[in-house]
Amino acid sequence: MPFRQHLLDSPSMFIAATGRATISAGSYVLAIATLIGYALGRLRRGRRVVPRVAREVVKRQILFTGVEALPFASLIALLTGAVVALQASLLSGTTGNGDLLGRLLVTVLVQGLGPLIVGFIVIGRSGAAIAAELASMRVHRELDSLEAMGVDPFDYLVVPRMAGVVMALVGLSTAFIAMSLLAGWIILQAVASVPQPLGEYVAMITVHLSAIDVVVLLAKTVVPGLLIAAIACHEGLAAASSATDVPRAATRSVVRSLSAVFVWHAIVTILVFLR
Amino acid sequence: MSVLAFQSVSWAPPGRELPVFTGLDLEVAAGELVIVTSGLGGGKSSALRLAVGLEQPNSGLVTVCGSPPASVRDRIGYVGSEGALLSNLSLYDNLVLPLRWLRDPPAVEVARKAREVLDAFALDELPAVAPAYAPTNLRRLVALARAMILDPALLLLDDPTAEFDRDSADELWRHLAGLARHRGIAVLAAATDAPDLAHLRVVALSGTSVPATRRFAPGQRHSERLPVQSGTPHPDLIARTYP
Repeated sequence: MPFRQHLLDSPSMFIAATGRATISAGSYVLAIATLIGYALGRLRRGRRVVPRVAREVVKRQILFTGVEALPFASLIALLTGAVVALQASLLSGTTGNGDLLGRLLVTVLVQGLGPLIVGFIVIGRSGAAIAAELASMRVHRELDSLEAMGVDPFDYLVVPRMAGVVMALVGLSTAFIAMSLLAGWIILQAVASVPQPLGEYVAMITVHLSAIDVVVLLAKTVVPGLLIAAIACHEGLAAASSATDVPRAATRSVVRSLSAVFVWHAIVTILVFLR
Repeated sequence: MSVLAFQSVSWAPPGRELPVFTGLDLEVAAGELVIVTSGLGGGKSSALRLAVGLEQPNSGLVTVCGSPPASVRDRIGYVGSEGALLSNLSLYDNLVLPLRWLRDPPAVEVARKAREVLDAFALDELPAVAPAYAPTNLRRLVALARAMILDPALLLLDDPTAEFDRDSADELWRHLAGLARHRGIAVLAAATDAPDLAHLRVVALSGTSVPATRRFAPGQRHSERLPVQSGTPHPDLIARTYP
């Protein structure tokens, strides 16, 4: 029986399926929120009680998620900045000092595309890697080994990764925005009839930067960082004991993180609009 | 006084009604090497996981130094069936991880302790590679050394000689027996076949019902089946001692 016909024949089944999906999504959100809350609680214990080996895990995560992603993020930043600057120039009708041009660049690159694109990069590189790594550790019983040694797998694997991803995402987003704005200036000089000094360009951007931009930027990097790491860790640790569960965990992590980051960005953008 | 004690322990895997073993009584004293043997799925690895608190008994009590195993993990050294070194750390970082996590001493002390346990297994400097790039027997020895790094009161080893040839396996068993004796460590090891070694207590598990364990007098040869106990339809435990 075709699916549509099936729905028409049994609307109650459709309602029941929708209800089940809603409950399932709600439970998942609750699980991720609990994981984040628990991890933040552990972080509050402070520097003195966190062993140095955990801080090394944080550093390695920052290196992998932030520093090693910098070349790729730079390339995307340069291309994005150039495209956005050209389009903003077309919309504002100027290639130099202009109120609309500055406002467009700040709004699109700082509040919108910058943190969103960096979120995608981190999901694709680090979220998938974390999920696959933890799932593989589970398959090879390394988590049991940790627990048997008295090393809490949550404290050793989850908390440092969450801290590392958040710090890397904030840093990478800042670098991405700076590079995309720089690329915007370079491309505008290439098409402008009268070149604009870099100092004037920077002043044009900074005059439109406000505290709300910083708050929005933090909201769109810190929370997505927590979401990406929490979802990746959750999917990795929830993997079953088969090798085929490793790629499944990575895929689920990417898909669910993308959904979560999109929803969060939409929520923040709507809140800023309603402000 | 026994370091490890099983008292009337029954255990079934989650979701399975038929227990792997029931009524297991076993004590391991300081300085003693006890080997638990069984066929595939006979429960020897599960007994070790119960002893380290990775599994909970369905009934009965498991204690290490008089406490629940999960509360005294810093006194237990455990090597699972695959060794389970962390794949994302070097051999050396694997070796010192429990020490650095639980006690976090200065680097000099970490290095000294690492050297001590490596010497205990006659290992030189470890290659600076991840476990995947090391030979399997080296991985196993590093896992054994890691289990010793906190000076445990109890050592639990799941098939520690799995990757060794017969001669090397016998040598390792002798070495483990010597370590247990000289350092006063209680050692419970799981193995498919028990080695031919003097002063060794072997507990064989098979089937679903296990009467009380029993130590045979020195000189009594192995493979003696325990008498059927009242209310125990299938005697499944064979305890034997090699003179």
